[in-house]
Amino acid sequence: MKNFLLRPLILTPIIVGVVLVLSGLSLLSGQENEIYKPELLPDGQPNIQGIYISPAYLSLERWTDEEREEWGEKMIAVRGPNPGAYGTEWTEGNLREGSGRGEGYAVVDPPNGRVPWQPWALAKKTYIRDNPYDRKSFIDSRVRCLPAGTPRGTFSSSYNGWQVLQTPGHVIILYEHNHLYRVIPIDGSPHPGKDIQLWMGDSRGRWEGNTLVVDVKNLTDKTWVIGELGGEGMSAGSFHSPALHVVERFTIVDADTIDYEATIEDPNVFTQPWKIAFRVWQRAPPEYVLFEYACHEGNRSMDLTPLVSNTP
Amino acid sequence: MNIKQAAFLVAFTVTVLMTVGTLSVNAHHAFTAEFDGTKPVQLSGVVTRMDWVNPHSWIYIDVPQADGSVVKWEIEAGAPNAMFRRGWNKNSIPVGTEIVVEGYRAKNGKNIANGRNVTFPDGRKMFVGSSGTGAPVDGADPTER
Repeated sequence: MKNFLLRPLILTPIIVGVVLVLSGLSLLSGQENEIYKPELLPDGQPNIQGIYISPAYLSLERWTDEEREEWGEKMIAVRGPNPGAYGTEWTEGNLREGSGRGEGYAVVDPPNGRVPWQPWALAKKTYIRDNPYDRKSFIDSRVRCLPAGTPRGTFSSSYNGWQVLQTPGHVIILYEHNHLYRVIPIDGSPHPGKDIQLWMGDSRGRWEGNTLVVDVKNLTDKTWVIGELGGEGMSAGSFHSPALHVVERFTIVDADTIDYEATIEDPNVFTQPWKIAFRVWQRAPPEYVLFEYACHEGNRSMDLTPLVSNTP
Repeated sequence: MNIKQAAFLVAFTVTVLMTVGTLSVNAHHAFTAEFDGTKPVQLSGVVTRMDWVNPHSWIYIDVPQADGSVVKWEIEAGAPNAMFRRGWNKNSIPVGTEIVVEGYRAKNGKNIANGRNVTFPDGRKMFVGSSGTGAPVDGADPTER
């Protein structure tokens, strides 16, 4: 009888101890599996130098089939039907899908997967999207060989790569597209005054473990926040004001992979901050180099596109 | 299932996976703004020059006419790195090569076309994908993302 009562008293601490040790071990081994330890540069920065290309493509926003249908009809009226010039993939139906059809959507917050526009801004954005050839300024800056802006310059592209360089106190991103670049100080220095407006914005960074956090301000109002790369698409026309503030998070997943997240706010056009997230970079094959991009040389888009008016 | 059927099944599955999984409508500009999808052209000509430049490569050809004259055409092709990713390189299309280009004429009616496929004298057909890059996968490039 005594033994029966005593047994739990003796066994319980042993069982609890074993469970604790085991769970501690599994936690440790789990951490080893989950958190990649990158090589550190002499100044302590995780080394993310190298050339990267896009690993995957996502639709940008979560549209309904009805909305896609409606937009497709409008575009046919604007510039004629797209008969699938490259085969079945290059058809109205697929253009309506946005910039690709990977799993999920780039807009992860709000949960409905849609940019939270203020009503007046949604009306303006939709007008630009549905009348893209009305005037030059309605055409995507990328198509006009102008800078893509931030965060849009970092969107997936199957024809451009990026090169990351690091010096003590800086991270430098070279964009194959249009020879763009960003020199990102990580020394805690502040942004310039708000009257300074730059196509790619002013970037100030810091490392939080494996994540490069970049605060971007001082942007113009001449670029789109998001939008399909061809300039047509359901998220096209996503303008912003110079008050745009973007906080990017480049997170090292493993030796070859970088995830991207950007929180976007602009109190002049959006009702709340919102967020995009996607796997942004995968290390390029060793033979890959950034190709010269004298954009106007091979770009005849503006000559070949009949515009409705000559309004700039 | 014989080998032919099995091969078809594999090819079909790969095509479906490529189309559904990683396809991207990912172009520098919108095709239909500049080119007329209802005006397909097929041009047999001789390569006089190729510009490997961004955002689009350009192929220049002389197309001989029945009366002995030559008409010059300019063919828009993909971005250099999009072309490289599908196996093109600077030796792919030397000056003097006789090619057949399938594509779509510019809306402005000039002798400018958006190229889709180029067929070489030995019968090889390569996707020249101009507006799209990885996007308009038509099976010509099995490695296209």
